[in-house]
Amino acid sequence: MKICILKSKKYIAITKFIIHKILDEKKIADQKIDNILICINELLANIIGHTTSKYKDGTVSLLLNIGGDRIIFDIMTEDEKIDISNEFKDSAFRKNYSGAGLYIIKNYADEFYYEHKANKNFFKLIFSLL
Amino acid sequence: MLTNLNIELIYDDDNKKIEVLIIGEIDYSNYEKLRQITRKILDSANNYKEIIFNLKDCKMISSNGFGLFFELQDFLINRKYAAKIKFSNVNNLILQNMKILKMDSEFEILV
Repeated sequence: MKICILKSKKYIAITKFIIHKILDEKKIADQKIDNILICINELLANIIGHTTSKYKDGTVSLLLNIGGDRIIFDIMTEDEKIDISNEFKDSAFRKNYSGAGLYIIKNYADEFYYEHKANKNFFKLIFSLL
Repeated sequence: MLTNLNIELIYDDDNKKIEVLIIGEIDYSNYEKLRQITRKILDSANNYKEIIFNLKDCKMISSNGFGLFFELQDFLINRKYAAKIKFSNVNNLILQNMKILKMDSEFEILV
């Protein structure tokens, strides 16, 4: 299943709705769905919120694979490299009221990968169903 | 299309409380609506002792939303207002995120 959206916050709601419907139909547990939707929201918020002006008219593609004991999201967008090396510091969040999204993702996703290649950002989120 | 979110303000002048009923979800698509409400609260916050966010009908809050609670807290402190922010009827999912972001050390959270 592939979803492709424009880089606008108004498409986040419909993306979450579609993913929720798919996971619900696959009888994924409600709590797991909630955790996944939190991560999708936070990741899309980061991608759209930090997109550079050169790429603001681009798209974000989400490829969803459900198989075996895992749910895998491969998310790709054309943009400049983002810095995800900064670890979450609650003092920084307290001061700037932002910067916690990736920290939340790392708490919920079983695996999280990021790679920048050929002007594209690639994210992989893996959720275990075990 | 924005994620569903309705916010109602109830001013309890007798008990000096403002209750904020949050109905729906707060995410990146709609958190500006919460920002508008927090600004409205600030206009009268000096006359109240408690600002209670009732999350009975709120399923999820994103990091953008949580950031606004800290922002409101800082405004209150900087203006030397006495009003304290509290959360009531917090579900497990929101509570878990609040703990991840260490909000439980700064706010009174009632499940």
